[in-house]
Amino acid sequence: MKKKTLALLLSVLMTVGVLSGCGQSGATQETAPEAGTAKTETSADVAEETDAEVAEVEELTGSIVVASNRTDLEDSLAKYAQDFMDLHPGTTVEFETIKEYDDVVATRIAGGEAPDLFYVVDPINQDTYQDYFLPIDDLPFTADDILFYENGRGTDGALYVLPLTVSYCGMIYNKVAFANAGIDKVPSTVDEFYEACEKLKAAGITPVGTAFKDIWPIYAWCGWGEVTLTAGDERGENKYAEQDEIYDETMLASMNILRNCYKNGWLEDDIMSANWDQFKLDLAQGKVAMHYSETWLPSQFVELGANQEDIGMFPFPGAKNIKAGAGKQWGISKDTESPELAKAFLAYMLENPLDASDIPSNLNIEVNDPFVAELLSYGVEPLSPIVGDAKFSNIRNDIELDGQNFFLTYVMEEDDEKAQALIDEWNAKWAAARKNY
Amino acid sequence: MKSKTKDRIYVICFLIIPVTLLVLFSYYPLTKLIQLSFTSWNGMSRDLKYVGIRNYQDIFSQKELFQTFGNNMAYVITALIQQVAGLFLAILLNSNIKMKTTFRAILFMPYIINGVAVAFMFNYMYDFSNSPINFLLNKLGMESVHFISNSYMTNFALSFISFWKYVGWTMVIYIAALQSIPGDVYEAARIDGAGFFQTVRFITLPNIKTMLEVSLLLSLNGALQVYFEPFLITKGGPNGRTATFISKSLELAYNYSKYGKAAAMGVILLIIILLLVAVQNAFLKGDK
Repeated sequence: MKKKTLALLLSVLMTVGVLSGCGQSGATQETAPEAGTAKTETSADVAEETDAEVAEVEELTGSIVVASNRTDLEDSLAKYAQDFMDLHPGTTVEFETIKEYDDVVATRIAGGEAPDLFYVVDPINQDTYQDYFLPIDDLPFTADDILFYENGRGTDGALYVLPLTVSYCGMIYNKVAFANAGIDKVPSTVDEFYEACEKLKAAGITPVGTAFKDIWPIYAWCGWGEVTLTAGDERGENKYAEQDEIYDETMLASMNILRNCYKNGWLEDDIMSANWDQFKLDLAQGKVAMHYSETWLPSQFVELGANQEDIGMFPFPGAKNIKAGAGKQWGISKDTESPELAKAFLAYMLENPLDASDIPSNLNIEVNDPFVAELLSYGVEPLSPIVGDAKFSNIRNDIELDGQNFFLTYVMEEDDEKAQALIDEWNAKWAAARKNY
Repeated sequence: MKSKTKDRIYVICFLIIPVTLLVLFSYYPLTKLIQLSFTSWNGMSRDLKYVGIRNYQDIFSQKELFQTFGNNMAYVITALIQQVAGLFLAILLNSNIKMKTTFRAILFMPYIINGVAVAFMFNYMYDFSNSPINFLLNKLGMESVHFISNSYMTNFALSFISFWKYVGWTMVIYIAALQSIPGDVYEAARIDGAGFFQTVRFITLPNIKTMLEVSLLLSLNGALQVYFEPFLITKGGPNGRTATFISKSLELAYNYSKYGKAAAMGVILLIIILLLVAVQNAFLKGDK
């Protein structure tokens, strides 16, 4: 009997515990909508605060969280933030490094907990900048200071995002591998490129590394900006939404070069297991000779133990232009509680590169990157794409085309006719869907 | 009367926690899923735009989405083999073998290992140039194998991962079932001169029939919902040859921001699984 009472007492206690938990969560749930309805009030508060800040002449306060994908720089980013906080006492700036950046940040935005500063992730595009970002037209920069300044505008004309870095597209190569294969001049036409591949193959070196298993590393071969600018499109404008073929001659020419390489055995032995980390090691050690990518990459080979002078870059064989592209596009969350601090920190990041190997978008900072220097020394002019309107990505999402994934399929399809049929299929879907946009 | 109220308090007290958890983490997300399947949510916007049954129409007009069930078949076949292997191991380790607890622990271990770690490990095992398996094959004078390739066999390579991971789990379920069979039945059979296979056929199998059915249903269910291996190792490629129904829906959500349509696929899979359960239940009833 005693036992029973004890058990009863215990279970009642347990229930009370649970119920009190419910009560608490209920209470927070209640306060949340309150905060929502009182939005006007809080924004008035913020306005007051900002007024006060202006009155106190740039006395910055508050705290912000900056979301970065550079997990490799965690320590130096913390120091970077500390330097800023030393300049502006009373502020708190915290870098949060996130590995699966696109997924994590998108989820947080959906949950209304966007970091104060973050860069554009899918599915944000010019159409929807205003839903996520604060206008930053009042930052102390103009198109004369920052490359790709105009590309940061939303469809409504206001400026929302700016890139911190730029990169140039080109062929990265290991000079030791080239020397071992007896190649003394970098290939400047596609035929010379094929010749070089043959020589490299004969010397037992993998001519072209793809890291195809991870799929994204081959983006330069099939990205519209990279392909059309390299092929000599003067305007650098994305015109695919206005034409019936997503895979036109220009695009296929680029894709077919890699397909030929695959057919001739010039890629990794098994591209389905060629992964990014292994590939980077192999190129650093000269087991792989070339890789088509951008200037953000070569310094990583040096980090992996290659000598800086052994790694170089040259323009894509036969390139009419070198594609210059904006790095990640950074903006300030619409919901930030310290907009002035966020703006000040974004400006600070634009003036002080986060990492020494970054090529800053700020034209006032001198660039002395050896890889960029070599790439530009071959006399091919860099050109930047005019940012395409949102139509292109909207149509692509509509027909569920993952260009990089399809590229892998296309390269691996050994039968030419079947490969062409796959191309025709996507072109037909594209033609049908683009009428709705 | 008094004891009745007391009983009621007991029941409520014991039920409140599991029921709260169930509602919070199972039924609430489920209703949310159904709600989302009628919207065109892009995964980020805060307001939902309802599009009626357009998502469902889209899915049923895309036959390639249902072709992924062909890839799921590899997992179903492996799940069946897994039942046999699990049962075999269970019978083996339920007999008087030395160190049987150690063997049980070793076989159960893969189930505890984090799935991402398992995928990472097999990623390495299935690598063409660095695979220890290929290294061994080469040493034995054989050719290297393309584990991940353009062929359908890749699905079996991937489903072997779940086999390796879950066979210990299946074994534990069967061991539990076997231990519920009283020992004297076996003794009697032995006295009557029954051999190993006869005892398995006439005593073990009939006695664990319900467990067999439950375990089979769980594995089939798992085989239909599989996404881990293709998602982490092949990303459904090349050309969707290793995509499963769920990995395809994840792709829709994360690559093309079609969360609404992905949710609709989730609902369709749910219906398919419910049908499967109904069919199995019908068979069970017929038996009884």
